[in-house]
Amino acid sequence: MVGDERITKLRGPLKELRTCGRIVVTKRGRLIAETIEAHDGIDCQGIIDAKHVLSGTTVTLGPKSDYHGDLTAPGVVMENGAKVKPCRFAVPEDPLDLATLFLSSEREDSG
Amino acid sequence: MAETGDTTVVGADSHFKGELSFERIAKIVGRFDGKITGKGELQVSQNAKCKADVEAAGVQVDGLVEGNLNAKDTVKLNGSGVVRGDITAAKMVMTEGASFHGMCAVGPDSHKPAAAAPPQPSSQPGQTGQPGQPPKK
Repeated sequence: MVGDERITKLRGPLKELRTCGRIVVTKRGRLIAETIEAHDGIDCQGIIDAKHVLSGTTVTLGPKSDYHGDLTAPGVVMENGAKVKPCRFAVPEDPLDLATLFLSSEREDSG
Repeated sequence: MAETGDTTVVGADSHFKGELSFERIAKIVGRFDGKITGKGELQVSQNAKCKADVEAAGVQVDGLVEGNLNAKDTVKLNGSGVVRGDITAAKMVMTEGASFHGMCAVGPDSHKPAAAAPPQPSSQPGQTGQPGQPPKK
């Protein structure tokens, strides 16, 4: 499913949810899917249960949130009280990989 | 290694290799390689490098930690903090700008060891063996 508008309620399993926008899971909200991809970030105040989660900007996990899913994001804000079930986090120091870019441009200059 | 009041400090110009245990507060400002165990809070300062498995009540990270963090209470991963390893804690606060690569488990039950198998119902005569039900008369 590609989410381009506000979905207030959707029953049944969801394999993937992809959007170029932002996903907001409110306090009593619950998002269960295999893959979640949001290029403008994720704000989770409720429940997210997924296998893989990819975010283009910062992911916020609120104080009442309950999160599960291997996460790749350039930044995470986790508030006191958030629960995380065992999963892998990949939050890079250099999300745009500027170090590699800088090194390659240096090599080009010298070569 | 210096002690200032209740705080044990590994200074900026020092490199400690080995095992450290502390009671209240330990602060790594320089480099540390080994293992850290404590009942209080471990603070890893901004330019510090800590290659260690850590077990403490609380951990506050502003520098680099390579190793697993296990906290009974809170792990605070601040904006300049980098963790390469697994984090297990009852509570965790992570600020924007912090970097973390590893497994994460946060919640009041996460730091406890895996739950033991529930006790088997006794197979004494007179009991049916159905758990949670009174024996039939």
